[in-house]
Amino acid sequence: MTTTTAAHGEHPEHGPARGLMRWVTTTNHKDIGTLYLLFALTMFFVGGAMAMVIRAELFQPGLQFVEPQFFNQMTTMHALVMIFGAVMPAFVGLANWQIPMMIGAPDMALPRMNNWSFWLLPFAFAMLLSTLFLTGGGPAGGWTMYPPLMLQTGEALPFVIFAVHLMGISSVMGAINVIVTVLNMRAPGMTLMKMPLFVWTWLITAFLLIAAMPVLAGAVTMLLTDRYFGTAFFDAAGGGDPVMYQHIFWFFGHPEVYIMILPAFGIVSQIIPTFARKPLFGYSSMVYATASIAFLSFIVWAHHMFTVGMPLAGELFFMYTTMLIAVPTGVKVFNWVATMWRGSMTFETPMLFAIAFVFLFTIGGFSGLMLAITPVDFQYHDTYFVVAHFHYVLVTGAVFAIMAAAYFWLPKWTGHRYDERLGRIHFWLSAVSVNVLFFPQHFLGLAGMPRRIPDYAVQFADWNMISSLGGFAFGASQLLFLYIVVKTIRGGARAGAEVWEEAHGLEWTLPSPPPYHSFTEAPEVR
Amino acid sequence: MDPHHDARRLRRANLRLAWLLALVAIGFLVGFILVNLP
Repeated sequence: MTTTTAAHGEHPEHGPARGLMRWVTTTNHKDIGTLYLLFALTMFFVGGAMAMVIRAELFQPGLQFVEPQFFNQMTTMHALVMIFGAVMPAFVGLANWQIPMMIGAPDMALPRMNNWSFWLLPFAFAMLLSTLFLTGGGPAGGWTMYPPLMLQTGEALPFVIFAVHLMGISSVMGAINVIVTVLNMRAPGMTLMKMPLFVWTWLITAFLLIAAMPVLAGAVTMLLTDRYFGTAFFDAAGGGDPVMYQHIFWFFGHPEVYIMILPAFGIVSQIIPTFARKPLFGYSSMVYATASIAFLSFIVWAHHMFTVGMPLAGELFFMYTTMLIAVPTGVKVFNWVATMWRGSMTFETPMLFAIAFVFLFTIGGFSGLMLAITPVDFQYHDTYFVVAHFHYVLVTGAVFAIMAAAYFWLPKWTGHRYDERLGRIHFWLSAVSVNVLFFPQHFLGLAGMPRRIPDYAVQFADWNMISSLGGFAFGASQLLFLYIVVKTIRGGARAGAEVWEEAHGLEWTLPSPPPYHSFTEAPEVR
Repeated sequence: MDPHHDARRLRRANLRLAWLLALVAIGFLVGFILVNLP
């Protein structure tokens, strides 16, 4: 695609401030990227701890450790923390680090807003997590926050809603920054169709964020006014409609799913060509497939609510549009496999995670197709089959891509190579345990086990025990990831500018670690 | 646009686009609430 020559200057007098205030007042895209990534890693372990509580309770039938109400708080908070606290900030962190370097820009377009985008998050999550200590505990109505159930939440409700507002503002500001940076700050010669796929997928994701997040903000604002200001948006007694909430929520919620997976597509599209030592197969079709998926994400929302009693025409429409998503997704999977075909492949940790992504995300895609079939969904709806499906998409999809990205770019960020042997051990432990954790949940769902319950019939005992064992192993494996990251930051073998043998792109023309200000002179893009 | 030259023009262009996108987001938020008034 692009061949480049490095042009950058070292300006030690413009280096970072010292001490804690460096991180509070920074406007540097690398510093803010680091803050986002560290925050996401912290939330990954907070949300992971909640998952351990859930799996411990479900280890065997009956009530073991926690009260049902607290169990429901755990499932709700686990989802909110993992989606808004771990996966989304991790992708924003990767975007902050990589996009300016990939397009040859000196920094993000709006650096002070960038600082504000990040610093809203710790306050939002401090507020959200603090609800666990309020009278009545935290939110327990599920991350979808359906009324009227959600309106029965105790004192936590306004705190949760305000936390969601802050996360939304943070996301929208981050998205604005990405769009402005990509459209206005590219180096001369870096045309749109020369941009790395990670930048393309993030540009499209940013538009999704701007269109989707205000819808969520509107939905929760209406919940707030229904509860405290006498409105009846979702109250049938006052002329409102609780099903309308579900429509509004999922009009946000389905694009949200793609917000969490499109940047992962971008990451995998960077890694596979590098380790297959071939250019990406079908670059332009990848771009068009990403845009098609983004467009379709706005016309499929009601497949999440087939069982509410929609007209048949509506059910058919949403079934067909949902199935249509398999076409551009299939194009992508085909292109990744075609890139690997007859490539000179090596299997370093980023490549292992990327290949696992292609294989396991596709399993999640197929179970998604099963759920798209309306009459079949009547059986699967609200069962563990759905839980298995979206964890394949979000854990072996989004989280595996984030880990692939971390291993791929850590040497660039830190200037140190990570311990490859430990990386591979981490991969195999994760890949095996995640399947032990989530694959049996397909069987549980098909057998009829409902989701969001702390107790279950004895017929589900065996697969639940196996799933929990996989969960504990997967959770423990991530401590190894933490160790590898800390070890790499602290030291290790020196990494050169072009960390990987066949790595192409502007970011690899910079030294490792890159200077505080990346491209103070325009790089040449041919 | 070359971000390394003409910083003032670039800053104006960045702010213009950022405000436009912010207004779109605010428009979606307000619009969704208004159309759902019972």
